[in-house]
Amino acid sequence: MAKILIVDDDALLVRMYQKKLENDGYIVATADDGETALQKVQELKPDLILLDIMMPKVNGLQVLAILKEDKETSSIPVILLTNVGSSDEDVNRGLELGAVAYLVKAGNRPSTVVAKVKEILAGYVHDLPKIKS
Amino acid sequence: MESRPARIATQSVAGGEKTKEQLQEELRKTQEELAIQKWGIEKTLEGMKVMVSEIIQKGKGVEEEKAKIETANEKLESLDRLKDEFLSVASHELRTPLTAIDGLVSMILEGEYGEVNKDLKQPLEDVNTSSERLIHLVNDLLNLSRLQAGRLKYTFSQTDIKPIVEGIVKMMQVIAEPKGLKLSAPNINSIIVSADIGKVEEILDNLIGNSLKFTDKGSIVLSTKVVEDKVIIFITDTGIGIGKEDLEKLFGRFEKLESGLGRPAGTGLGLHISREMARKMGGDVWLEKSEKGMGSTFAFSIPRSNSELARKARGEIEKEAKVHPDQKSVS
Repeated sequence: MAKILIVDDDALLVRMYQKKLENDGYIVATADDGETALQKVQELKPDLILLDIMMPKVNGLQVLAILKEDKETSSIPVILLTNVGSSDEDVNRGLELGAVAYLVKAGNRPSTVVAKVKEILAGYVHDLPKIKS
Repeated sequence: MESRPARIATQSVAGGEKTKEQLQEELRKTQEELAIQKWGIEKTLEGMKVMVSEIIQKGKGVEEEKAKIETANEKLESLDRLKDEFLSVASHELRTPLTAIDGLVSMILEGEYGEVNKDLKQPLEDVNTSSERLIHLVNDLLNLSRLQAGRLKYTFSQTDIKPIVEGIVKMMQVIAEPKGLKLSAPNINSIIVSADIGKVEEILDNLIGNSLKFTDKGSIVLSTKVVEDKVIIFITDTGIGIGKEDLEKLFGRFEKLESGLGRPAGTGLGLHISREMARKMGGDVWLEKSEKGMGSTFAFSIPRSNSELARKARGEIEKEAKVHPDQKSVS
């Protein structure tokens, strides 16, 4: 039973992804900001993290940097959740920091998100995607 | 005063000597003429002074007008920028709740929240269709604002047009088949073009989508023609056609032609955006021919790889990229 941590400050969206993931058999925990996220990572030891880039206080990239620096958490695959408003620099930076993929939230249905999660967990880590125009 | 004219020795003029009185007469006449001329010159000078001051006045007026126009222009430009920013922000803000609506309804329909009451299926599907349409509209608005601000990104590559066309046609069979329409691209030339593949696909999507929307029976056929430095893709349908009276409005920004009852409405932005994007890449989109009730043929041209046209298009985009830090272009 794989464990997923969703880190995003949009409670509505989080509920939606959580429902879909739980229906598909995953154990899901959520965090709505960076600090809580780091706590939950320690508690839950998730198999994969969905990480929103744009968050107040500690932003997603900072969380990512911290996760990758800690030997205990650096190997957990991280999928970046982005808004259309996120800059390409942010996403590329995230990929450089070690995120395995990125997903644009707007316009992607939960089933797409879940498909990506399954893909990554199944070990299909493609070449680090570069931002396409 | 002498009683008789006396002869005065003067310089001899051709034709004889002159008397004192004759000379005085000539002098008087000359003085008169000079006085008249002086008067004339003074009058002219006065006239010129009036003209000059009028010109100066007009000049001042022109300067004022110019200043007014410049101020008005600046205002217009900032309003224009404001409008683009508004469109951009509004589109972003609209997307999040729209994604939620779309995602949640699709999940409900897929049974993720339990079995759906039969009676609820249709209304929920209708909600889903509406939210999809809203998402397309918002995307179009966002594209339009970016297009106008010159911020659509173009990534050029040299690629064969054949697999691109055939790929889109294959994808759109899922719409054509249920409608009983025959969508095909039997003889596409294999030509290397210079273009942004994503944009080409969007444009084809728009043109074929329009044909599918406005054709009730028959076929939609794609073909290609190579003309000098361009490849032209023709999309011919047996649809309702476009009347002469609507031709002008076709590519306007917010024009939607009367689509008639029961047709899914578009946003009216598709053709305009498609044409602008095609032109940015050095090509074009136009209506090749159409007749009401008979069908239409749209055309979409793309520069061939290594053509002067292609180089020029890329050059323009790169120049713009320097001006708009937002716009990135990669070739």
